[in-house]
Amino acid sequence: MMDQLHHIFLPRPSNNYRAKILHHSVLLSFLILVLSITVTLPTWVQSFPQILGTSVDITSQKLLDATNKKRAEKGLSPLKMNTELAKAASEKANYMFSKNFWAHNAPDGTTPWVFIKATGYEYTYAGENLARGFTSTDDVVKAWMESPTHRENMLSGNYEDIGFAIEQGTLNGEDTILVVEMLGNKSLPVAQNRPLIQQAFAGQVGSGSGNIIGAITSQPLLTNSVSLKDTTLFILIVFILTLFIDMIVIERKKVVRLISHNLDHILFLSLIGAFIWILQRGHIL
Amino acid sequence: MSCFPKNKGYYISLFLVLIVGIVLALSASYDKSLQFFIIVMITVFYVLFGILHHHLHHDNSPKVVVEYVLVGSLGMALVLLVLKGGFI
Repeated sequence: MMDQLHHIFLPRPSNNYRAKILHHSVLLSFLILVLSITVTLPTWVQSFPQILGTSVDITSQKLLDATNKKRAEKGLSPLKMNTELAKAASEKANYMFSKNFWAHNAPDGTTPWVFIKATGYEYTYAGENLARGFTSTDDVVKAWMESPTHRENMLSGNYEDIGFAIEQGTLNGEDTILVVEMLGNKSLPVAQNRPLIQQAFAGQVGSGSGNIIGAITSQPLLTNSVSLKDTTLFILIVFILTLFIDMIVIERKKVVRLISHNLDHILFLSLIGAFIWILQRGHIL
Repeated sequence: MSCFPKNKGYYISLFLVLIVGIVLALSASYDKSLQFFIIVMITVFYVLFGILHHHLHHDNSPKVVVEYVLVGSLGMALVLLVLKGGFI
């Protein structure tokens, strides 16, 4: 067993002084395996959604609770869920999917306020936060709170009402979840407080058919996002460590080989690993 | 490791280009296709730069070229796997 492991990971005569895992045949096998998984994964996820998929837990109620918790910490009054704003948020999310855009203002010039007014909600203050690609309520709220403009919206004393839409659909050919948060206040006298459209957007847009619902939750047995990221990082670390050990051993033994520089590969794979590690789950706008 | 001191300029150049590329790719988080395109460009640079370096040092061979291509392709494939399958 140990002998086999040495053969796979350490340079020695049995593997021609090159760890077996770094041989071209093994690298090619890994490449074919990774590409095969990439191509077939969507089919697996569709065929076995209860087993393999992305764990999602975003609900309007949880978003409201998290927002009001942040407001309470600042001594602000809680926001009330408003069905008109929720409807406006849904319409906005649908519009983004149908027109395939991800922005506060649509390419045709349609502003978020059009959707609010269409529901009959006569606001004196209104705001919008968008989020895309998140899979948990906490992550959405955390991302908004870390952005000064979005945080300002969430913690503004100018708002009394709030409405959310959480919609799954396809944007730019990519399946995603959009979260639209509409904030408003229609009770403040306009004369006392000048009408102000507080715009804060966090999200991405795209085309597609979406189901606008107040919550998206799913908990597959295996969550592909975590598993894939962890697995790819594990593979990269194994290769990087093997290359490093290979480099050290060969240097010490003064073995002459006509191969490429391990340090090149270590640099490249390390930065690829850093990219995968840093990749954010979602975006705000 | 002993190759580092005598190839310091090469490795620093490679590192700088790769790090700039990775930062660009991360900053393009609004468009995964663009992110992957940048990763492809980084990989092409890494492969060509490595091959050129070996060529200039007269130690190039088909085996070296294949190794750069395989390692580059593997890195690219892993990024594609995460970008395509790791998100909703």
